[in-house]
Amino acid sequence: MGLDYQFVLWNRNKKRYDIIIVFGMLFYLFLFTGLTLIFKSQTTMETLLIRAFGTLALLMLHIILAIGPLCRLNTAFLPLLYNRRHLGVSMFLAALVHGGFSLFQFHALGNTNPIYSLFTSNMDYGSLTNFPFQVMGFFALLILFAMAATSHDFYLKNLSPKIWKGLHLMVYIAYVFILFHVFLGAFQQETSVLTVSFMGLGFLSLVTLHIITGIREAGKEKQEYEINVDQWLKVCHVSDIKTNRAKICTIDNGPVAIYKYDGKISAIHNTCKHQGGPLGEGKVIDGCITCPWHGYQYLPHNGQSPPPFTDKVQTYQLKLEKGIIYLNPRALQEGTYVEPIQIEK
Amino acid sequence: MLVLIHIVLVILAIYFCIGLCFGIYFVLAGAAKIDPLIKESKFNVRFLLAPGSVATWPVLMLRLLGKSTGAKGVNLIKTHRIIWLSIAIIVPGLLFLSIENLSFQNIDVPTSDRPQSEYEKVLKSKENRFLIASIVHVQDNKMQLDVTVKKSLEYPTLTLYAIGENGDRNKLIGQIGSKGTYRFTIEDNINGILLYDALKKITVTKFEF
Repeated sequence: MGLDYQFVLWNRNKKRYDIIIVFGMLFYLFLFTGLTLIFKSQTTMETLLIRAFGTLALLMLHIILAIGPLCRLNTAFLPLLYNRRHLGVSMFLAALVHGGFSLFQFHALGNTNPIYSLFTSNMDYGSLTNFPFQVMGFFALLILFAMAATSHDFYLKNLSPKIWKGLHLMVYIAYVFILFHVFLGAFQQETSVLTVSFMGLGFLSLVTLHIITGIREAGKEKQEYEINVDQWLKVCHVSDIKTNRAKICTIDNGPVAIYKYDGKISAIHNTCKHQGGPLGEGKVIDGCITCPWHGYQYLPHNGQSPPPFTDKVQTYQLKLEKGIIYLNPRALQEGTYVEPIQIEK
Repeated sequence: MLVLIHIVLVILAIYFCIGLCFGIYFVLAGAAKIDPLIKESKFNVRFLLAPGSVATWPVLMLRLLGKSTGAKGVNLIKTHRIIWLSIAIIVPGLLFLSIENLSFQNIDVPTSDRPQSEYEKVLKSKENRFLIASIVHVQDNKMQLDVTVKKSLEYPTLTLYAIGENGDRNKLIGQIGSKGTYRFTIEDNINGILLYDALKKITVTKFEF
């Protein structure tokens, strides 16, 4: 959130994470180079570069896809979520180096257009086993390009949530293409069981992580709350919520985030107006509920973005009786002020 | 298939050519028409918008024409769940099918493997940077081909053939894997050998004795 657009929206934390990303990438590249020179000393420099950057991009993609469920399982991973966009762009750059070198190495040294050569050097499109795996890598790279190119705040705001989210959901198509690119490539280019094993392990870990998180969240959505005489829902004990964090409870109107901050509690609708991010998975920063996805902010007592911004979400009334939080499930109009409930000491 | 590839490549080329032209206009003027906040920003920000405008020019053009591109506040948590479930079910199946069809030449790999102590006489031997190959006379008046792979050959399906009189693949001898020594019983004396990758359909190396 800002009054103008920055080239890169850096703050101290983001700079620190970007430094970690750069050093992490360099460390991996040196490690891969060292291990290759020790165990496969006959590898040529071009092949080494192609494989180093390809496996780096693959590793980074797995980390990126794991961040979402990890944050839902443990809030300690949230800083990774705040910096996921920079990690995504860095991953695209690694994939671009891999793709660029591969295109040059395998297709640019003849008298045919390299892109045309990429599509026609293996014409076995009818076979699942011999399918031209480089074409899958090419299309995956195109998707990653579109995602990286639209990661700036300008596109977040102006492409509309529907288009932007739809475009970025294509990461799953890219991931499937990359899985086949690596899998078929490993069989068609070399008999490396190691590459396929690492990729299989990554795939299994990701699928397990997402399914566990999905089951947990589906369970939360089905949770039924005790109803008191005023038809308010008994949610939880106030001590169940950490300071500056929220508890998300799902009612008929959708998920609600009940935030504890500054000795008070307030409730707002859980869905961010910007891109549909889960507000309850964020935290209170500078007195504002901050969306974990893109940092959009709302005041906890009225669900309004601080001026001059104009986004608003629905608010809810709360009651506190003997440390138990009760929620009125009837949502108030977006941006309606609700007096925060003081927590008795 | 070639026609389809041409169509795909032409569509891609047209899309990116229009995108490039639109990108220049968008960086210079279009972005500020969609979002006046860009005027308040430094000029270098506009250059960062260029790749995105090339990639998404049809949507941005709709925005410039004043068309709506969707409502706010989408919640896609369930969509993510469905996608992951689909990936978990479909992808392993496809991966399995892709290697189930993997034909390693449909060959019966010869199984003759004799200890070196039974050698009687080395008849022929030759070496290049990949292999050492020897034809030896073993007990019971039989011949054996010993092939030592000196370093890992990064080909998925290496098969060993005896070469014919005109130097082409003649008779299948067996399959070669990673680095190591392989021994095959052969019935006749052979002129030379070649290593062939059937999946990539290339001859990796060959030599005559």
